[in-house]
Formats: sequence, C-alpha cells, structure tokens
Amino acid sequence: MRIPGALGGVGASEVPRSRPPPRSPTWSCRLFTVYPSTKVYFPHLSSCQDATQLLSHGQRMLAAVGAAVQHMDHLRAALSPLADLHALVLRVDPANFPLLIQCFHVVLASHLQDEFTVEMQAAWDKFLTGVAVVLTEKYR
Amino acid sequence: MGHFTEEDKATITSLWGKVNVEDAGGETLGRLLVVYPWTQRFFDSFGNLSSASAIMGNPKVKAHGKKVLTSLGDAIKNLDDLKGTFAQLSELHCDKLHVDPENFRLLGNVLVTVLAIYFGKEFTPEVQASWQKMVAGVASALSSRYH
Repeated sequence: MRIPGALGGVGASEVPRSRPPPRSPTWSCRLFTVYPSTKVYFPHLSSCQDATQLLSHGQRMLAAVGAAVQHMDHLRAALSPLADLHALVLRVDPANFPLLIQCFHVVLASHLQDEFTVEMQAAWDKFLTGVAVVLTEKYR
Repeated sequence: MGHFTEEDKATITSLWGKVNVEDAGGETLGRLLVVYPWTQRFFDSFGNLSSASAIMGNPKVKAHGKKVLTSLGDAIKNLDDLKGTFAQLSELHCDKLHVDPENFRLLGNVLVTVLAIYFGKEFTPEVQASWQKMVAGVASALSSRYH
C-alpha cells in the first residue's frame, strides 16, 4: 500500500517526508462546511470559529489515523479502544464515515495535488474504509 | 434535490470554466475504475483494464470520461432543472445500461477529488461544499427515472 509519508506513516512512501502534514483545523471545518449534518455530533463546537477546540479535535483524529497507519496489519487490535468508544459512547452513525473519508481525500488531493496519484487514492480509500469497518464493528 | 444558491452557481460555473473536460474526464473515470474496481463491470468492451496504468492510459476510458463530463457540463448550465436535464439519461442508465445508482455517487466523489488536485488551495471547504451539492444533485437526477 502506498500511504503517504506526509502523515508520518510507515510503508512505501510516495511523498517527501519534509512536507508538513495538512493543518488539522481544515479537517473538522471542512467536514462541517461540506456535510453540515455531521455537526450534530459536536454540539460543543459551535462553529468553525472555535479554532482551539477544532484544532485539538482535528489533531486527535489525525493522530488516530497515524496510529492506524503504524498498525496497518492489525487494525482490530490497535483500534479496539476506539472501537469501544464509538460503539458505547460516540455512536456515530456508520453512514458518516464515508463523508469523513471523502473530506480526507479532498484534503490530501488539494494539499498534494499531482502527488496524489491514483495508486495513492486507491490505497488510502481501501485503508480508511478498513478503519471505518473496524471502528463500527462492535456497534451490534 | 438540493437547492443551489447564487453563490453555489457562481462557484460551480467559474471553476468549471477552468477545467479541461478531456483531461478531467479521463482522470475521473480512470480513477473510478482503479479505486473502485467493481465499477469495471460496465466496461468489458473497453479492452485492457488490467492495471492502474493500463486503465489511466486506455483511450476508451479517456473518450468515455470526456463524454460523461461533457454531459455534466451541460447540466451546469441548467442547475435549476437537473431532473429535466437528465431525464432521458436516467432512463437510459436504468433500462439499457443497468447501472446501480450508487455508481453516480462514487463518480461524483471522484470528480470532486480530481478538482481538488487541479485547484489545490483554491478548492476551499466552501468550494467543495458547492461541488458536493452539484454531484449529489446530478446523482439524484440520474436515478430519478429508475423503476
């Protein structure tokens, strides 16, 4: 799989490691702007103006993705605590994960542009979809 | 179906004006076939689809991609009546082509990522929002005549 080095992950990299990762606030803000219904899960984050909270939330999600990249071959074990959290506490409807994945693709694409090759897009989509499956597996 | 504000229309139209439909078409359809390989089921007659590079370089993929995006370009001129614009194509996709409407959603999302590649930082959350509305509207219109 070709997971970009931009997120500091292991595996074959097609991106120079000197490139900084996308700014975390762009995540949540983009998700809320593009898919406003996702805001219902974040009543404490009133708007994209709430930079500090958005930043920390975005960073947390990015870190989780980074951790998942490090444990690509045993996602279930590595993500088990997060899977519990999503099943018991967060209970984010599984339909939302493709929305977040689309925003992830767009952030990568707009940041990396030509370096976001078709192979990279395929690898990331496969990987993130796998993460979403694991995170929602314990729902019932 | 979603309602397009004047801002949405301006965003969509101005960005589309800068897109090379031929390049974008091939890129979009090619990426669909690579990232979601099961979509290849509709293109048995297209020849070599055996690898990512084969797909991206396949002339039939490029030609068909251009055809699809040209049709999308026509829709952009009629954002207030996507259902009407795509009525015939909807019937075609249902009755003759037997395409699962889920594929329209996938293609739309791939198009958005291709636009993000082309436009980089210019593809802000607000621009993406207008475009996701656009592709969702097209997908909905294309599936409206399914029965």
